[in-house]
Amino acid sequence: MSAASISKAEAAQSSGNWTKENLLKFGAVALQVVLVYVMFKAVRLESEAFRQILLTTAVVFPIHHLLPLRFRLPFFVLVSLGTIVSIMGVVSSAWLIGMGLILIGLCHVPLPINVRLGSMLLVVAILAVFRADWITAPWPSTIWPILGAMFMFRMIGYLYDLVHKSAPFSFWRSLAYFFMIPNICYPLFPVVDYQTYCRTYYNEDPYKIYQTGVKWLIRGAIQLVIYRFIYKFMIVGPAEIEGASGFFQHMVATFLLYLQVSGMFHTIIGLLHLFGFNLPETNHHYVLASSFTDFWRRINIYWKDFMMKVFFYPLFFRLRKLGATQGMILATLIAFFATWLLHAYQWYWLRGAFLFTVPDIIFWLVLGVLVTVSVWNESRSKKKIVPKTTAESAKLAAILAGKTVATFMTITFLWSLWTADSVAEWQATLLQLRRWDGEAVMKIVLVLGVLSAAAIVVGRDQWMVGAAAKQRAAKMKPFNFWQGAGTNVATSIFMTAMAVSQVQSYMNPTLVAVLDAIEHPSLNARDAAVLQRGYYEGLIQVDRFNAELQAMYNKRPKGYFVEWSAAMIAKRDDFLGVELTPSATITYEGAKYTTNEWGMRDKSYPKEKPAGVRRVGLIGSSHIMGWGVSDDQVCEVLAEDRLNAEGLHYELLNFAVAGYNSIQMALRLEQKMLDFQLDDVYLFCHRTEKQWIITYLVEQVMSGKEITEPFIREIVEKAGITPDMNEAVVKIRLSAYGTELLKWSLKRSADACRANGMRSVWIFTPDIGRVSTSTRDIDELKECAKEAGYDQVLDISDVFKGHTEKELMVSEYDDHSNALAHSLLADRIYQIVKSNGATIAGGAAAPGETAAATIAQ
Amino acid sequence: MSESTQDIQATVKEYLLEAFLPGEDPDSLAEDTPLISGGILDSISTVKLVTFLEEKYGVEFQAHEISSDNLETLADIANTIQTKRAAKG
Repeated sequence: MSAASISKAEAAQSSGNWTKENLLKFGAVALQVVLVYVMFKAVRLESEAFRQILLTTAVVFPIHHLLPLRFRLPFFVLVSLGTIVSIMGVVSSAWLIGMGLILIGLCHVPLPINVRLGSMLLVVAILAVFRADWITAPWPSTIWPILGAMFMFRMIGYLYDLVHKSAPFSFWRSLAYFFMIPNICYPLFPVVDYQTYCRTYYNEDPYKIYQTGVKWLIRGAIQLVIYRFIYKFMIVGPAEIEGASGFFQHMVATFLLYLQVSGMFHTIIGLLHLFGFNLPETNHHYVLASSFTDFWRRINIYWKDFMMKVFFYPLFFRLRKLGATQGMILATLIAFFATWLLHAYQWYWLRGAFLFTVPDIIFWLVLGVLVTVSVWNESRSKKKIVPKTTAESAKLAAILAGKTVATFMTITFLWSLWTADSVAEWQATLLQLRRWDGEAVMKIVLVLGVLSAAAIVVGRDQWMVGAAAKQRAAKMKPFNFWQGAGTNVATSIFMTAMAVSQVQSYMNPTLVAVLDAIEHPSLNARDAAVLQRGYYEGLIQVDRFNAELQAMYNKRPKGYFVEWSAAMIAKRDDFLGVELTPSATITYEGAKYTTNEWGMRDKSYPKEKPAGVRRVGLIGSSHIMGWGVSDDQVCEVLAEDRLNAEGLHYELLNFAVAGYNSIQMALRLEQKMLDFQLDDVYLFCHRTEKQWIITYLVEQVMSGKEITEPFIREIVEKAGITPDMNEAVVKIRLSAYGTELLKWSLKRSADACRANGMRSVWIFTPDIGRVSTSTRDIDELKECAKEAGYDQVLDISDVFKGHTEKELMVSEYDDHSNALAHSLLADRIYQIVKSNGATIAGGAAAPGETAAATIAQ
Repeated sequence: MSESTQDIQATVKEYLLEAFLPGEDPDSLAEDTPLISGGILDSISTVKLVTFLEEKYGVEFQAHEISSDNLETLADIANTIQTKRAAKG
């Protein structure tokens, strides 16, 4: 920290300088921090732990600011360490802080620098052995990602500055740097440069620094909200891509998921500003990059600066004897190679294994080459063109727009490869580019049109004479505190209000549904299907680009479902795949599960129906089977008890099995349910039904199991699937036949019911916490069910209305229905059964009749 | 004959205006205008500037000296050159 910066900070708040204006500014910042906390809480942004840190910041901010400058850094360190203890607990944090102190201490032992570096490498090698689990570590494994995030890169930069004596060092500075407050919540953390960290500490008017911090916290929040919108509503998985339009949406939306990182980084650095660290921006309009070097400079700026400092400049200074341009090109190529290697190294500390995948290698190789070519192009000393006429300006603006569009398209295209599970999967998605239609053209023109306009407006300094100077002059103008404060207060209040139910009651229901989905950090439909299917599949690889899915998995106990599956799931050799083990019982995660002698999660029933009883067979997946609740809490049991308590004679038989899809339901209906003399069959389906069918078929195909159903065999042949094909490619190819397969399976169930004199009822059942702006997929499911010939097609989308996701979920890592949700489902089943009784008494309903309106009451 | 700090600033300013800010009003580039954080100097132009300074003033830069501490403003650049020349004797 320079003397000049201290004097600026001291001057702004020394006792004699507590002017009325400064007092008002201080109060205004404190109020804004509270408002930002309320906003994060209302919109449920970031983790609970981060919101706790934000609350702590709101409380300690006034104390911190009122302290004399020399006490602030120690105070910041104490708050940071206290936060670590409160979030991680005493044992884990003692290990984390202890190991951190050893690493920092090693840098400063009074020995020659080479000995210190050697000792550091030795310690890191020992830690790497523990991280690989070759030796069991005595500390909890939970500390690894945070220890990694704190030290894996920052220690490199710190040592660099230590070796070159390019920054001041002290006990408090070092602790503040490595244990900085928000780090405990973020395994992925911006690589803050130590020299910059020291140089920017209170280097300006403190109120300007704080105000910038609040602004970036809000900017981060906005980016996180947009990210959630994209995640919930825009993402198209590789298997769901339809035509060029779908591929374009897939690549753009996948790229825009980076908004989460960018929002997170803004939030982190914004928070640090509130403690006086006037750190620079982490990302800057990266969507508007007009070349590959420009993209590299705008996205994750801290990473770029770290690579420049530690790799590019040292390499360039060694290589420039070959010539400046050659030196730059070689240094760039090596820096990119190091970037790829360091990503694998980062993966190792965070996840315990190196990341070496072909898409990853190709991505970094191609990007490295593109940036190098761009560097070569820029390094040639050509002069910038200065427009002299309007026509020249217009030409430059058009060139800028064109370059921005070209860069964006190339980067998003490359990104789609990077995020693919394999090159084969990516190639399969590329096949969709053969199918062009009006929608694809419209979508592309619209997105690229908006992008061009934004590039021209934001990048006017590049084509408008004098615009750059104007922009710089504007930046140099005295800081307008109150204008910034007003904007921050208005934005945070607006965002908070959008999340308040009383305000939402005045809004359009679709908008409310969107806001509700954004506020709930749950999985989108695609990921939810993956998560639920994963139950009996054992280990699933969590997509490294899917933070939501990863967070859900990370909360889940290790081996979740495995013990249950071993006791309750019986594998079959035929096409049905699995069923429940007959006469089994287990208490798992506090819930008791019992199956009867027929492999149903239900009490025992004879095959022969007793006289005077109406029998209803229920078939569905884990939701209806009652995963997560005890035997006596399952919706089917509750509904049956209620009906019989009223003196009615009903038997509800639960044939549902965890993980079943419509094909398996049809097979189970034919193989098992027909034996029980059922009067009615209720078939429960979810929004992700088609995905479940595809995932199931992929498993069957990949396992080499004989496909006994001629129709499915025909589809597999039509899709051109061969036994040696990559799993992802099989999935993409089969996905093209999702609707056909769904229709076939539903028709098969409906036909079986009709042929055996059973009334068939198809029921759309919602997933907890998943809202969509469009009901297109639900409408499609219902249409398919009607077409299949069900006697009744019902939609109970509103069954959970009025309850929050948290109230209905089994646990924070399992979004199956809990006891409350089952009681709501039971009420609805009870109504359906009773309503059907009335319908039957008054004459059979016409096939395909939709009774949602009456049932929904 | 050694140049004064003001002379160095003027020379560097002239170079920056010609190389990276053609057509700009010279008054828009003040001695405290942020060059790196303000986006005037990126990695490539920084390397070009350092090469220019080395050739013009006969000084040598080390990789770790390429930082905002030394190159953020015209004033910083002039001070760095003066310090290097003084150290060189």
